[in-house]
Amino acid sequence: MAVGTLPQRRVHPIRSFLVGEEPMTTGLWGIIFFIFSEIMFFAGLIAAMLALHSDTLFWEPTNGAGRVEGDHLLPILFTILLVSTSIPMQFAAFAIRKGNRRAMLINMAIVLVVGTAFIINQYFEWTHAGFGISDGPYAATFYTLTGFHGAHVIGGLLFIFAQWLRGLLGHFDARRNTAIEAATLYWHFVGFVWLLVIFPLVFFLS
Amino acid sequence: MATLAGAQTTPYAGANAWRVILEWLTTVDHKKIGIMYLWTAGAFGLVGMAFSLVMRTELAQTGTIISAETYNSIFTMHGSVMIFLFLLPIGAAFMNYSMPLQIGALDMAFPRINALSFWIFLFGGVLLTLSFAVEGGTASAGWTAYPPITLDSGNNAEPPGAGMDMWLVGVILLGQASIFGSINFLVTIFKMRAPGMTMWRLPLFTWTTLVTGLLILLSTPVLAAALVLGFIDRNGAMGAFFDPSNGGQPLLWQNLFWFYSHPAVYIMILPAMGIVSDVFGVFTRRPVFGYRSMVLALVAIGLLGFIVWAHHMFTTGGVFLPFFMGATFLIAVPTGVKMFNWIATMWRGSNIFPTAMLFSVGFLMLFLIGGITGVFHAAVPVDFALHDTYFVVGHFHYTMSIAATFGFLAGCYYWFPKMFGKFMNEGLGKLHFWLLFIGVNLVFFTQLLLGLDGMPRRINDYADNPGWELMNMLITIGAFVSAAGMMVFLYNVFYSLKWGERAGADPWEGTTLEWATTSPPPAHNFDSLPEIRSERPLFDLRFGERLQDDPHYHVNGNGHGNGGGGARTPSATAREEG
Amino acid sequence: MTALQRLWRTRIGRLTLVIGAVAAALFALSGLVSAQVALPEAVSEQGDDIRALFFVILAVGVIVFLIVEAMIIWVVFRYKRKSDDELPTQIGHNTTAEILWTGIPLVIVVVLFFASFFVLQDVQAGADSDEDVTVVDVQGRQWAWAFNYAVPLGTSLAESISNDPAQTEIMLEDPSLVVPFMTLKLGVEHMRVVARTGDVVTVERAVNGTVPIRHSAGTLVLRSFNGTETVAEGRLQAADNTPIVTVPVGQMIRFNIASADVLHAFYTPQFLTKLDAVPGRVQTLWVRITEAGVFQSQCAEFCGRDHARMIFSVEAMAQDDYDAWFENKAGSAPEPVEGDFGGEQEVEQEEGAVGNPINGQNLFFAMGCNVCHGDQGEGLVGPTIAMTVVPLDRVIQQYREPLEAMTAFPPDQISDEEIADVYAWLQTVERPPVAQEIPSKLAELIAAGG
Ligand code: HEM
Ligand SMILES: [Cu+2]
Ligand SMILES: [Cu+2]
Repeated sequence: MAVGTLPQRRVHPIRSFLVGEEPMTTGLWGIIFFIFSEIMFFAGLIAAMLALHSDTLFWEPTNGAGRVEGDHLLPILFTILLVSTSIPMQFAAFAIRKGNRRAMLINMAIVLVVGTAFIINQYFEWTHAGFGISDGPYAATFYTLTGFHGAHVIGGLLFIFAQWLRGLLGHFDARRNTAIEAATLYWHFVGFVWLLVIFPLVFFLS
Repeated sequence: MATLAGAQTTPYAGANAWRVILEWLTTVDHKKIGIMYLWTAGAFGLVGMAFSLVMRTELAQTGTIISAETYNSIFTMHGSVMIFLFLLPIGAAFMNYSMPLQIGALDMAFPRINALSFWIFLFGGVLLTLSFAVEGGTASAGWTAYPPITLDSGNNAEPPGAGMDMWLVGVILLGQASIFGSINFLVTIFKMRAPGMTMWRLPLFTWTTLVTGLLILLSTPVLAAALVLGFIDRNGAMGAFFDPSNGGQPLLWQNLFWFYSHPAVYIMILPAMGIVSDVFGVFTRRPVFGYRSMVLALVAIGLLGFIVWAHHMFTTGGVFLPFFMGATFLIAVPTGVKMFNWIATMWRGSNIFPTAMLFSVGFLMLFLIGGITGVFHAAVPVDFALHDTYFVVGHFHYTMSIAATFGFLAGCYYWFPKMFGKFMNEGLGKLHFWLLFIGVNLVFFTQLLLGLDGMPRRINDYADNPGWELMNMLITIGAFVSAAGMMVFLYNVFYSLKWGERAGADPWEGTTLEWATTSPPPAHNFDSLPEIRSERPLFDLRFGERLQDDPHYHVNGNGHGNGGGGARTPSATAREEG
Repeated sequence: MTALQRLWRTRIGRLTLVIGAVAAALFALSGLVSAQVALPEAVSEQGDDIRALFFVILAVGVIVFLIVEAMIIWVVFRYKRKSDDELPTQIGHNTTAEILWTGIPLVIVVVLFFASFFVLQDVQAGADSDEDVTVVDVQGRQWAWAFNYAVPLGTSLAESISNDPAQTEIMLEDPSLVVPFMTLKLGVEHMRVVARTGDVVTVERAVNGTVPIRHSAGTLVLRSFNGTETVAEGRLQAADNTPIVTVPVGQMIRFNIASADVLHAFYTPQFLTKLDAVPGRVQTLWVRITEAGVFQSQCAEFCGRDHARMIFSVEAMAQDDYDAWFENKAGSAPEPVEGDFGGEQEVEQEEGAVGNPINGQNLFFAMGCNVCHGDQGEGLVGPTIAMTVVPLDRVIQQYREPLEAMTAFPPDQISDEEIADVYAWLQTVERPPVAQEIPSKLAELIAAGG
């Protein structure tokens, strides 16, 4: 246990990158544990998908529509976009650690815009998929996984938006920024789950 | 002792009833939330018990009294209520009430989320209960809800109705309440300890809370995933997850379900183990033997608990048997370590046996049988014979249901004076103990024998094989004896609330911090804290001087020197919440 | 005797003796009880192994129980607080003791692990490669059991199976008995029929758990019952219509266990084993029965309303008796039906719309109709179409321009005549006892349109 009031104490660079040099608040601990539980939730869904895929009688949509192709430009583009918003989000955290609220707001605005675009694209993916949720294991997992991920993106965006409004009202400074750090960690998680797991699996597992 | 304040007068004397109700409805105080959990879980426990009596009446003799559908619904709700609405929340009740007090915290880390947890739990519970009223009745596929029988796709002859959906959603909510609760416990333990309360000075009940919290945090979301898939499977996916007629796999559910539910059996028993450990420490006047090995055993159980889930699936033909058999056998080792440590705590102790202690000793005896029968199941070939018979039913009631309940009852008798400022009646307590102890052994030992003889579980009628009717009748009698015991308990609770003998701040000569404040404690928990130099700060305060020359008495953490650095009080943090 | 007397003199000794005596009495009592109530006497080789292992664990368990229980009772009675200010020893740990009570249990469970492991190997070993095996396809369904027997087709055919590919085509002299998804015994191999075109049968090795089977069709012996009928005066007893699976004593028996609907479990207490029937999988249970007799058995995995009534019996008889019984049964197997089936049904049909049901059956499986409608046309995702009352022209139209989710089949895939063949076959299949009607828009349309 660190004694946080001692200024000489050096923290690990990764920790310093993620949550800054200041001691962790209870709120930050809370969000970290919460993210762990979320990881286990997605781990459960993904394990289910892998199990279904490895040992099923059929996988492709049963109505013959074919899977949603991941190598099409749009899904790849939006994947890159979503994941790269981790960068402005992290910049927002860096900015507020230095007390720069303006830079924080600008970076968060970028995240909000791109995140919303991602959701809109997901909406089109859904409406243009040629199969329904009952068309076999692939179809059902497709909707379930992208759906739950989308819900988490929306939840993250709403939270970021709320903090953005608070920022406009003059909340947050170099010492009072738990919510921003929390939002950043959560946003990294949302992008990570998509990039490393859901996108490759849902779109390329044949 | 001079620092300890005297008992308070009734806090609500003269208060307007509505204001009191409103206060409880809006409270974020961990003690009040704990007590609300306690009452609600207790009420659900009685409901679950009533269900069990219905089942036992049906099974007392061959032939049927109620329809098979009703029986199936009742046994499903018995299991679901007992596990999700009694054992899990009653653990949460004590963890909520006692853990912050034990570490000298002012409240939980997130008091409002704590209240939210409780209300989500209550809502989920009500949803489960309401399913009696919908068309098609409750879920009736057992608390394990193995598909495809839960689905309305494929060939299932009698697809369940809306009750099944309510069950799935209800359990998702209950799980969410648990997850929020566990985050709260963990952050509270990591961040809110009083100065001097290092990790190696945590009372064992707090340690069990910590391990339980981790188990909940990492396993419950997987159950949520399974439940979500189950819900989608019923509402849209047409069995694409769990019914082979649409490409699904029934065993997938079982894997996901037990990935949660095996840890869940430890989520239920660990807090009870923690209570028992604390009780032994107090009523023997000895340090709990092998404090560190107790903690390590806890952690070992927690870790092993994540790799044994498939021992519930030995007969499905779909799991790798040797691995899960080996891991399951291994769990018996840390379990044994705990058992021997408890006995060694009483060894050469200065033991007294109030009801809390009786229930703790009862816990040991019941858990012993539970553990040994577990080893029978761990041996895969023997499990081929015993799986899904009454032997399993006997095994898990000895462990999870009855041993855990004994632990929680010990907790009731032990902390009642702290919660309400009054003792529970000891005479009634002893009557309660003996009725229950005799009753449950009659029930569950006989069930073990019935299971050996091959009676399957989850049947509403059975063949008239030699001895079966006699044994079933014995079980039914035992069930009613146990229920009589619980009625004595119920009476004792209300009797003691009204006429119980007043208890001071520290009626048991407790060792941990919750006894360093008034009974009941003020809203802010503590006016002052004693110095914390071991896991028994109050014992040190009381007997430290007399034991100065005892070579075995170490004030610094149980003979192991000190552990870790000092914890911070919340105000020491530089960054602020915001 | 003197040792006992010496023990009796100390307080602790007396206590130990008393407790020991009480415990011994209790165990004598429970011994008396368990003489009647223990794991049943095994009637199979595998069961004997399991029972032996059980007794090993029981012995260890009882010893551990007695020791630990005695320790608990001893500390409870021996160490009581004598005065209010008594302070006991504060010994908080003892490394030797702690290592001992971690190490000894560890050794015990490791030994038990290996014992169980070897028994497990034995129990699951299966038959030797040169051994004769009786193969029974077991199918659980709500709430009945069906038992089908593999047809022995003679060893000469074994040569035609190549070892490598999972699937092979073989020629059969008399393929008329062959139904998709039944098990064929070809020499020492057990093969599952995947498809049949004319005289050529495609088979694949019936590997545990990997065979994509839905339903196994009944040809030789199908005894199913409607669970509720076996309940005589509310008692669960073997009634006349209890399904019986007849097997020989002494030969290895391979039960291929499958399910038509939900989970069930094949459980004969006297075999001391059980195996789940998991829809979508076929699993193997090996048993070598050592005694003739009738053994009461029961479904052991909860499967809905009449789970408790899903009983069956295993009837084991000497090899000769069994052979005679089998001859008799096989001889009376229903011949696959040919000819005109339209006439018997009250179905409006065009003149001469009769098909060849044998060809129809082949087509039904070849086109994958069974995937949605079930192997007997009893309905899965798709509606029940066995003995359908929908007129043929309407059925042809359904093939071409399907209503609802069905795949369309243009004429180059299946001709009108071929559809008539399938139609003819569909009229011959019996509706399964617990067929589930899945309401379909099609049926409603027909009903409305007349
Ligand atoms: C020595 C320790 C233990 C071992 C080796 C062990 C082993 C097993 C095994 C192998 C099964 C599966 C039996 C079957 O379904 O055929 C089982 C079932 C079960 N065990 Fe344990 N167990 C142990 C302790 C516990 C404890 C401490 C608890 C609870 C706190 C517990 C609760 C259960 C429950 C609830 C089930 C059955 C659930 C159901 O099928 O509904 N066991 N145990
Ligand atoms: Cu388990
Ligand atoms: Cu059943």
